[in-house]
Amino acid sequence: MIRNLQSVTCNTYKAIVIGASTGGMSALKTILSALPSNFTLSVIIVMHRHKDTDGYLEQSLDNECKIRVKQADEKEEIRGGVVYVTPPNYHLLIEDNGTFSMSVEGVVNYARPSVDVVFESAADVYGQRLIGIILTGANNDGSQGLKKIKEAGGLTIVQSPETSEVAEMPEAAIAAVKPDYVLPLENIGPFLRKLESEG
Amino acid sequence: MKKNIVFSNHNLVTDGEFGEMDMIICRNVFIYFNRDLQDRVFRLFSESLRPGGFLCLGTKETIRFSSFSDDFENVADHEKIYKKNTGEL
Repeated sequence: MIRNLQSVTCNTYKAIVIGASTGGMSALKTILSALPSNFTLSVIIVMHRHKDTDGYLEQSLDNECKIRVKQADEKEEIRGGVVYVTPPNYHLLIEDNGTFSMSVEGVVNYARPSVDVVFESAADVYGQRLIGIILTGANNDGSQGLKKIKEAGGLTIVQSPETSEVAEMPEAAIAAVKPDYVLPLENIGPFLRKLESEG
Repeated sequence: MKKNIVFSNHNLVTDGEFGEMDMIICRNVFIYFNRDLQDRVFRLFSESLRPGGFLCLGTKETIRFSSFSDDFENVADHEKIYKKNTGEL
């Protein structure tokens, strides 16, 4: 019965959450440049970076990709066709009413923002209408969050360790969850477009 | 230095204005408040600042979307420093 329900609703993905750390900048560029400006899903990126960093990451991605990229703002309404990047030094949470909220609670997995925190919060709100992706990185942040997404019926994708600049984060995610897909970096963007157009 | 400072409790949710301050620094508190409570506290801060006084918020906080944005001018957008209008035309 649950299986049936999934097959009925799997064509209505609403959001994609992506966790990335070391090597993430160029991996994100590869994925996001494959997405069109009229992409219908919301994309939320958790990237480990220095707490005092400026908006270089989102600015550079916005310049080089067709889809709009911006830093997430407090209480901002989450829209389709926009890529939101977590602000440095804050945890990001997704509220039931489809807005962002921030927190300065302690680090999780040595990180703030933490991938696990965002993924778990997104899984609670979007359930099976969520796609979770773990990319290159040098710690195990995101594994538990990806597990939550899978348990909530969402789709899980991990960048293949061979195509990751640092394989530790993808390997940890693959070990913790049996992801639905382990894909080479180049294939992830086109695959997301395919998932969207099937909907 | 400590003896020149007055330390005091103030409840943002229930208490009223607390003086004519030159500067209020309140970082990463508004992020935990909903819009209604944010508005209440922005009003409180506006009433507790002297004209020309400064309000300093956390990097992800803004007065822009509140009902009191007209009471303040932007001094340093990126640093989230606002200056209360003097009321002169």
